[in-house]
Amino acid sequence: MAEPQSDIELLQQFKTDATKERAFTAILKKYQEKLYWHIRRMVVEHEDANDVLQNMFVKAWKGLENFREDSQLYTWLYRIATNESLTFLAQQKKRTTVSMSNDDYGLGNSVKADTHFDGNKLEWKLQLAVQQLPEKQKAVFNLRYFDEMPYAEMSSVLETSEGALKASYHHAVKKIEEYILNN
Amino acid sequence: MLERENILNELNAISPLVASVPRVNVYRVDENYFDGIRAELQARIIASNFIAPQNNFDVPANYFENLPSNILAKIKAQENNVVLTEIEAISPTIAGIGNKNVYTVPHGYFEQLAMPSKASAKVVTMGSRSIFKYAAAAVIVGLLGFGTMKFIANTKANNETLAVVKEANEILKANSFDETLASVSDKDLEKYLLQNGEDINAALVAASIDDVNTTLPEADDYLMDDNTLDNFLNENNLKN
Repeated sequence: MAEPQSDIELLQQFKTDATKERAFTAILKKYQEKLYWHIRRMVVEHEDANDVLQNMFVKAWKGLENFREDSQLYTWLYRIATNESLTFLAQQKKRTTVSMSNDDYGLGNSVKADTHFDGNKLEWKLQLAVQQLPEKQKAVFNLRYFDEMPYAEMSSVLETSEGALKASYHHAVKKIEEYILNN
Repeated sequence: MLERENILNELNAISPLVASVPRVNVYRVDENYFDGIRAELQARIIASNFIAPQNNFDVPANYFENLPSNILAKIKAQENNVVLTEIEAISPTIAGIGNKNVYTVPHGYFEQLAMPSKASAKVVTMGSRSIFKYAAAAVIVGLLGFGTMKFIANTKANNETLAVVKEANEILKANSFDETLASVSDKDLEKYLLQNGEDINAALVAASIDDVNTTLPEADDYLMDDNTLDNFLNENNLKN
């Protein structure tokens, strides 16, 4: 099996018309799963995740022309994915209008509606707990806990200082711990 | 790998409460409940390094295989579909319906369409359409003539029927149909038609088309304008 091409190579190929689509397809294949799961953990339902993923890649396609190589491609893609997810959740929340509780606008319910949901399993409780977090804190927790991303890269993705991210992650873990213990 | 270790160490550092849960009771619940759950959680967390990350969700079959082509198709559609953007701005409802072709063609239709035909069809030239005008006039005049004869016959007593038939035969033989018809007044014609339950307008139309200045509408006129017949009747004062 061939070695995946480096981001620098793919970016160079993207800038040439003849290899543009091939390069973009390679970028998609390289990052789609990671980004999908990052988005899926944010928005929970597959259909929503699919919409957000497609929208973010459309934006990536449009923005790659002007992509500055002083940042990493994958952190840039994560930034778009995170921003798109946050925008989607904000719109979803606005549509329901009434309550500010995450659970009220259905993310917790969406987790429970998953066909494989098992409320007795700790990993599912963790998912329910994550959905109680404020959206940006949820992104912080997911990037660190699931994607195992260093703070320096998270800082690039979320455009937040490393110190603030550490504090946010700390609070997120505490809230999750509380949730698991109480549910 | 190093990052994973860092994260696990960090979690342990953040959550000393997890390790010291038996001693810290922050919530007011049944004290026995937390004794059990704390021990269970602590054991599982330590065993799985604080719950190993795992996916609990599924995706449809072949989702990732088809995703690149789906996304590229979406990008191309967005770049090229000016029409869609326009219709979305004008009417999102109609844009939502889409412009999918609902019709189908027989199998191989387009392949056959591209092939040259084996034999050319014979072209038959149609005569002038104006012939229909005269044919129509002739039919109506004929009907009127027949009606007139009936009228004449009915105005006489039944015992005169044979005489009327004889007279009619003479008219036909002498080819004096037009002169005989002209001698019947419009009033008598109307009277006859009313008595026999016919539409009076039919008689008036028939009388009008005998006029050389009256031109019946062409067949195409009816296609161009639904009101052609009404207009014709109005122009010739034939409508009630």
